[in-house]
Amino acid sequence: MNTLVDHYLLHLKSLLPAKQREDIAAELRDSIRSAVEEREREQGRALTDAELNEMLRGFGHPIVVAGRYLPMQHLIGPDVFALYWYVLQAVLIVMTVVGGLLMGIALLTAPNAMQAAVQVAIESWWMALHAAALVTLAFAALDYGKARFSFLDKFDARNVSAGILGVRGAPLSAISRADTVFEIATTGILLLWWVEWLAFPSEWLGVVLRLSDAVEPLFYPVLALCIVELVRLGVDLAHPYRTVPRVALRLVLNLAWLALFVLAYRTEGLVEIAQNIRAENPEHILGIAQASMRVTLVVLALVTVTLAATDVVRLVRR
Amino acid sequence: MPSDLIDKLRLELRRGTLTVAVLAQLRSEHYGYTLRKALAKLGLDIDEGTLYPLLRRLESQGLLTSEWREEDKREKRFYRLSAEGRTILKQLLDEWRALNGALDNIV
Repeated sequence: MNTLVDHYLLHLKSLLPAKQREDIAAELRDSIRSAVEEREREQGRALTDAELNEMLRGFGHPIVVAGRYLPMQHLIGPDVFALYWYVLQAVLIVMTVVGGLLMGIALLTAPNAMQAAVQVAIESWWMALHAAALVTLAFAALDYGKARFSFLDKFDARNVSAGILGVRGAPLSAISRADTVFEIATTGILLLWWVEWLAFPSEWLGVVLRLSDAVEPLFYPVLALCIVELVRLGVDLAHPYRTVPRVALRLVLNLAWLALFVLAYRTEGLVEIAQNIRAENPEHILGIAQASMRVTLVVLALVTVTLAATDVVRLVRR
Repeated sequence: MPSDLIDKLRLELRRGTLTVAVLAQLRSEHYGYTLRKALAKLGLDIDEGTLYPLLRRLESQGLLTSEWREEDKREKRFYRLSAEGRTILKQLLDEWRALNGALDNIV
């Protein structure tokens, strides 16, 4: 008996929190021994290994039993799961769209189109996987630290957004705080990248890319717009209601962004190769990067036009 | 699938009631094994893998006290309801009776 029970408890102990390990194991050992002794009394003989094994199975697999003693029972709890799922979906949708666009560009422009497209697909897949892992880790850390999103506790039904795709009948005056948090995060990342306090892995398809000096005239306008946007978003976060001045301000800012996107689109050579690591045809890679940049600018301009049009409609309705 | 569903719903239904049953049974002192037997005798089966972590959790919440003591030439951990546990149990039983009454009216 002892060998099998010891083996079971040894496995269990290896999974238990160190401070409670001996205590829990001693208690379970006593419980198992009591159960075995009672069964042996009933049957008038010692239990076979098979019967003992069956009894231990009733206690549960050591991994399951140990899991019940751990303070943390889940990676992301129900309090934050919905928000986690929302953010994860948003991130993956954006990455899928960007990956699809890059693949399309590679297919249309690369001499070895299939190979380039597969390479872009693999890189996009890894980036999406990393992004999903980072989002998951961030929410697991929030949940572990018992962090709570105060706006989830103090929600006002009038402010609840219609979700990522929206539904008919959503109130016009409400600003979703989840959307605002997302916008603050993206604007913040853009700002930090723009002032070079944040660097992304710059190697792409075997070359290191960087923005060229051609973007210099755009430096201060983008910087100023980012700062004003962050202030505006901060106000939105504190007071999630639309007012005429705030909608008008967003409209003006969107028009300014649109002007910058058009200027950037018309600027030749936005990116350049800083270093060729292993690309056989760096000029071609540069061509893909520049085309990608132009497509991104077109997408951003279209999004900005849509947002501006929405604001115009809101102001007219008002 | 219907069997899985009923198991899941049964588990949800039992989860809260097990805590009340364990607290109520520990108005008198027990160690894990005798507690489980006593509950089973009264019609409430609870497996060891659920009972022992539950006892730890209730103790860490201050609702139970425990001590290691020798009985039948073996060291055993005895549990008993604490003063705070008595207060909480009374509140939980009031809640349980109210729920039970409401459910009786509904069904």
